[in-house]
Amino acid sequence: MSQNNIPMEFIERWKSFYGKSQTESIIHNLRQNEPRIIVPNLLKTNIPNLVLQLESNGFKFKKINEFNGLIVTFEPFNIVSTPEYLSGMFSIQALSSLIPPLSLQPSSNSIVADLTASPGIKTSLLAQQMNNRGTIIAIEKSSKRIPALKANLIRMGVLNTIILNLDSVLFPKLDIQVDHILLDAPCSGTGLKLTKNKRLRPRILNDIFRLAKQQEALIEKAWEQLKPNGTLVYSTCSLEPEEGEVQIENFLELHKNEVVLLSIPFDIGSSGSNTNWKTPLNTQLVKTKRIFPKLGYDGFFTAILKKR
Amino acid sequence: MKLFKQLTKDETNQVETTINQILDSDAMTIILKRKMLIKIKGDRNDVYLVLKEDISLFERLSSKLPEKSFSIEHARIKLGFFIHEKFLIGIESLTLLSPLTRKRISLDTKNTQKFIYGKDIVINTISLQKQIEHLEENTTIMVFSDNNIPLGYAKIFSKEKNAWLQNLVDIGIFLRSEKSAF
Repeated sequence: MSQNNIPMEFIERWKSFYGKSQTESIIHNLRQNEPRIIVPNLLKTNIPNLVLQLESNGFKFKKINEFNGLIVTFEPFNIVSTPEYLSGMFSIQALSSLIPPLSLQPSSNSIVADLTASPGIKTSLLAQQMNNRGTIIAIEKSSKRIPALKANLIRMGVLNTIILNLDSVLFPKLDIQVDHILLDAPCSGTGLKLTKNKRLRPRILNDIFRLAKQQEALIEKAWEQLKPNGTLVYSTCSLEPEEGEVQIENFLELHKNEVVLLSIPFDIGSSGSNTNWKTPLNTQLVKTKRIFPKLGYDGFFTAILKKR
Repeated sequence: MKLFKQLTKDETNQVETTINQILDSDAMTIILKRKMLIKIKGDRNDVYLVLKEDISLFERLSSKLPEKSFSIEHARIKLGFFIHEKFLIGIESLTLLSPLTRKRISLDTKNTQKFIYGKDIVINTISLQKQIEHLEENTTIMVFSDNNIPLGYAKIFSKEKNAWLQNLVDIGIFLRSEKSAF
């Protein structure tokens, strides 16, 4: 039995983690059609200029206060065929995608590793913060996903990135110490809006344990290559604590003397420490963010880990 | 072939000359004093502009992992590629080179749309003629929209009284061939 394509197994789990009222909100918001949201590429333009150019071609927008986002309210023709899109003046994305790279806050001389880089929207946000300087090592395991990664980075005018086709668990073998790591880990994707999620089936629940193991291995390998005082942002577009809060809880336990959690620098979502788990969660998890699906946002989890 | 190799002196000269001609300046010569050109493993002999310190990074990568387990797919700025020992400019160079060029033409909205759909542009207005009247046939120029968006590269051709811009490459490629062109 399901409520409009959301299997009851998920609903019961979410109720136990987040309570009945929050779960009803999750279900409602997962079912909503997502409007097209565009975000300016600060390497190429700014909001007033972008809006002026697109409005002169008949497009209309509603501003979102967070992250300079614009909801496209009227499209006289497909916005991806405009010179503005093709020249990389903006990207189309859920606002939740912005939070992990913007939380990392690299500087213009940082060395940054993006361990699961395709399709490159988060990588381009890192490049924007770095003013296209420093070095981003963008790693993508799937060779099939490399062309889209390359095309997006080139279109967005990213000039500071080296793309490697490599399994990120082999990252330590490269023997490169980096200042920052973005690990938007492969996950069950249960936080994605239903319009773009073909995976929300009961069998996905069986994958959570396997995916959590994979995520654990990726964080461990990434951690080895992080410089002291460096930061790692971990995120997943999952509503399952095993892929979020519990993952970080376990990591803190294993590395208690070498890691400190930093607060997510955005007033959005709720604290990961509010999630109900079988045992009380580490108090440091108050600094993590559990974002529930809403307009412009998929459900996801994110944490910033700093190496002592 | 190794994972990457530096361009030969002749190849470097060809890239430098081609780009300087497109820009109508010696900007590429100046850039190459601080950076260098490499090819990375690939079918099309792609040419990348990298920092000198990147070379030691690539050499380390080559020595740390077996070649089968990874590949360098892109390095900072792709400028173009060699085909039959001739360097051709690539769309990837547009971000770097568009602020530096002096040889340029601006298109109105209608011609902008035509150009980014991969079409050639007929020089049939006084405005277009004036913009290229000082340039010789076969010159490669950078093409912009009338609100200064770089659109791609074109070559000037003429036959009898007709002149046109032959589309060499344009930003519409991101829509037309995202999966095959990159």
